[in-house]
Amino acid sequence: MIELMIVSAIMIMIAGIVYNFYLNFVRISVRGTDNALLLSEAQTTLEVIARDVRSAKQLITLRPDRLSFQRFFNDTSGKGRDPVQDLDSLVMKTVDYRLDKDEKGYYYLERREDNRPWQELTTQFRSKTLKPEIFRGWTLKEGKFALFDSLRDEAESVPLIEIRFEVEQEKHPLYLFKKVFLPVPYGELPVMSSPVLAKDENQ
Amino acid sequence: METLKVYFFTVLPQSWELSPYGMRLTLIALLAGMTGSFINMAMWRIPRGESIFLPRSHCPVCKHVLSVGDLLPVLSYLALGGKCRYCKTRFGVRYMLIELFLIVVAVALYYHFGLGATSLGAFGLVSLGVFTTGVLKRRVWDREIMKKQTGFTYIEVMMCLVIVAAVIIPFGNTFLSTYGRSLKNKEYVIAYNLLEEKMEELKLVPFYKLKSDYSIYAKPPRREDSIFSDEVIELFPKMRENEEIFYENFSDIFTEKNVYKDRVHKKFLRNYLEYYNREYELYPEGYHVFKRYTKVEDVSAKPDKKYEPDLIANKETRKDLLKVTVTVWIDSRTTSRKLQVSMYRRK
Repeated sequence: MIELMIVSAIMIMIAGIVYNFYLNFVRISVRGTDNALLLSEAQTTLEVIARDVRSAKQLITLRPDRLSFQRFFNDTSGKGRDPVQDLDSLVMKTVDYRLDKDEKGYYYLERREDNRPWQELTTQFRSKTLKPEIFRGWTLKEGKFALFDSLRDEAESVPLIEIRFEVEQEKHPLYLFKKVFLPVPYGELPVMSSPVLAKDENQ
Repeated sequence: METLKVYFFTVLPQSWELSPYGMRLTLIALLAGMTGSFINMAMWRIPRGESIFLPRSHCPVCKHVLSVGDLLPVLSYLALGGKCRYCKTRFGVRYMLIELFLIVVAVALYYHFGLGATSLGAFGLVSLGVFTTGVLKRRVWDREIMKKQTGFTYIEVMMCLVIVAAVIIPFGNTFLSTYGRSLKNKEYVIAYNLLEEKMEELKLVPFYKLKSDYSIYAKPPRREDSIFSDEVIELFPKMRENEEIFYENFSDIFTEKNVYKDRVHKKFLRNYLEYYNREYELYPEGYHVFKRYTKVEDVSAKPDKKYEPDLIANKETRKDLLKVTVTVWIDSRTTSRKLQVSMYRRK
């Protein structure tokens, strides 16, 4: 009986150790996979926003959790507007980004064009521990860049924007950022006029 | 395999990684020999029902406690000619062979897999194998045990452990490698972002102002503008004078952990502001494992003899095409790798 108890105790101990090992390995593996997924989503979101900003004409709003700007789009409505022939008729839209929080406490980013409904980004980057300061910018004053202050500076004067994701994690916090210059520095876009058509010239 | 090695290093003190190779090899051989010595002792004592902890190592015949000099793996056996120093009783050569075998195994594993979980696991398995084989060889004792057996023997428990270890190690490998790779992937993504950041900054620098980091920070036209101008110790003077040493050691990525000493850093900030027109900001925690530098080369075509004789006479180039190369070097515990990207700027 005593031997049976000892053997059982040893077996339980061994099983416990093995189970503990197994759980730890699984935990580490899950953490690794989660980190990889979060990183991938965050990086893709950065790229998506950066690509949008690179097409911006000028900024309208710049706050840590909100970014809106006007950008050009090719008109794909098929209503006779051809950006190659008629540069003046490029479609200008207002693009908004904002940071929101769902009922479970997850932060996520939303985007909208003009006044259409907000839509969550397809990258589905969500995090509970995301620092809610995502956007910031620099203005150019007397040849030097200075951090943009929404109370003091005009958003139009911002040529450089930073998109930043800081996710606090127990181990290995995630810091990703991307600095993007607006396509034409200092907020000014050269006036584009329609090319003179040969037909018009003749007239 | 590499990831596991790397993971193991994360739990070791940094100095281990920095210790000379030969020193580490000697240490491994010594530890393996000591393991062999311990197994010899356990193989003798456990079947006899003696404790493996007490009494201290002694000659089984004359019971004389052995000194440190008698316990050196392999060497003591050879020095004493396989006999007890005190009673001259001869011992079998297998004691030395077991120690030697484990040393060879440890060194071979280190050569093949490096110092990591795989090597340790494999060495543990081999050691247990040697122990169980050694004990099973004592057939008389074994038969006696088998006759009296009412529960599990030590050997059976050990065999169980060997089987369990054989199952755990591959599982562990799989899970740990996933984790290690995700860390590596994160470093690559950050390095890519750092490359892009610098490229973005350089796009706004006017063509005539484009310079290599060496020319901005270490060797500007005026000597006093060099961030290392007043430095006479550490690597700073060499970094100022030798471009190669500069690029081996310089990085424009500073965190609170790796920032230069105050005087040098202030000059760095001043030069940075002058070049990029922007205040330098320290990078987030953890970015100190990335090193980044920029090189600018003049890759203009050679002057034309017919149309540009002046340039040829003065040994000048047209300087209308520059190649800007940004390099990010990941130098962390998990990775040591360079990423590089170049762009051409025309006047």
